[in-house]
Amino acid sequence: MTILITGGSKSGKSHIAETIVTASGLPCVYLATMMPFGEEAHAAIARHRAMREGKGFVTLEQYTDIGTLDLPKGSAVLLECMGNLCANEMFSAHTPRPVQKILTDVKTLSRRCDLLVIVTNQVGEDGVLYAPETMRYIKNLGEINWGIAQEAEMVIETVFGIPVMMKGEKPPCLY
Amino acid sequence: MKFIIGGACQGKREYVSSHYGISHAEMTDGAALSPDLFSHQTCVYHYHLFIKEQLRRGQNLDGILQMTEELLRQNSDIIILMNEVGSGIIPIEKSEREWRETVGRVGCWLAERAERVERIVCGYGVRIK
Repeated sequence: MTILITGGSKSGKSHIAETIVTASGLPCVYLATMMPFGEEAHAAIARHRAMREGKGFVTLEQYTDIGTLDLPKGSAVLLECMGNLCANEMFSAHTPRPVQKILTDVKTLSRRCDLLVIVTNQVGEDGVLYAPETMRYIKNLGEINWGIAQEAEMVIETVFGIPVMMKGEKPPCLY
Repeated sequence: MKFIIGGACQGKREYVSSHYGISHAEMTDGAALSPDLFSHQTCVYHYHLFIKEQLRRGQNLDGILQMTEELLRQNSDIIILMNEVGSGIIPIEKSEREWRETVGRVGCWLAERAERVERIVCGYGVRIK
């Protein structure tokens, strides 16, 4: 099963994602896609690590090519986050067709685990016209989200910590 | 406390006025709110701008949450209106990033304590809590 969780900055996406993954009762894998550069990245990583502490997650770091990952059989994977993965594929790996590449990789990954929960971002709602490269990023991430949502069993938007179901029924663990 | 949210210019104040019978004169602009004005507040709008002003004055998240707690303590039936500002590209400016993230965290804090949360789009409200 694939679940997509989207929402704005600090809207509680990780908390909801962790709740779903840990409630599955499966071995939990945290798939981190953020490159640990800069003070704020380190602070965010430390904060998320503290949130996951004691919940039994195995952490894997993979900044691109998530389709190549080896996973323990029957695991629940929390991928965080698609916004970083998309940026990494576009700006670090210079992947020619990042949307197609990522959607294929997600499909491969979803076949290798029992539950895949993907945290992504809403980045297209500030109405600002950015430089072409950033506009391309907004477009690509939008298309990736759209593509994953079509295949996903559940799509959740978090709004100030509240899970708003866009697709599927609200799982019991979120009540 | 009721928490009314949504993007900019979605008709949040009009919605509160028509659904809760509160006149615009009874609404306080968050940009002009300060702790010495906390008593007898019926409705505060632009709470994201209250947060911005407090950050500018050197407050941090904890300080703003304490102020918010005090505002609720003095006005348990208050209606708070706040914009959602976190669904764009991460701002280059550090202070803008801090503001955006603080609005997100204060919003989660308020939503958890609110008796109801309504999200306004094009003047229409959807109760999400």
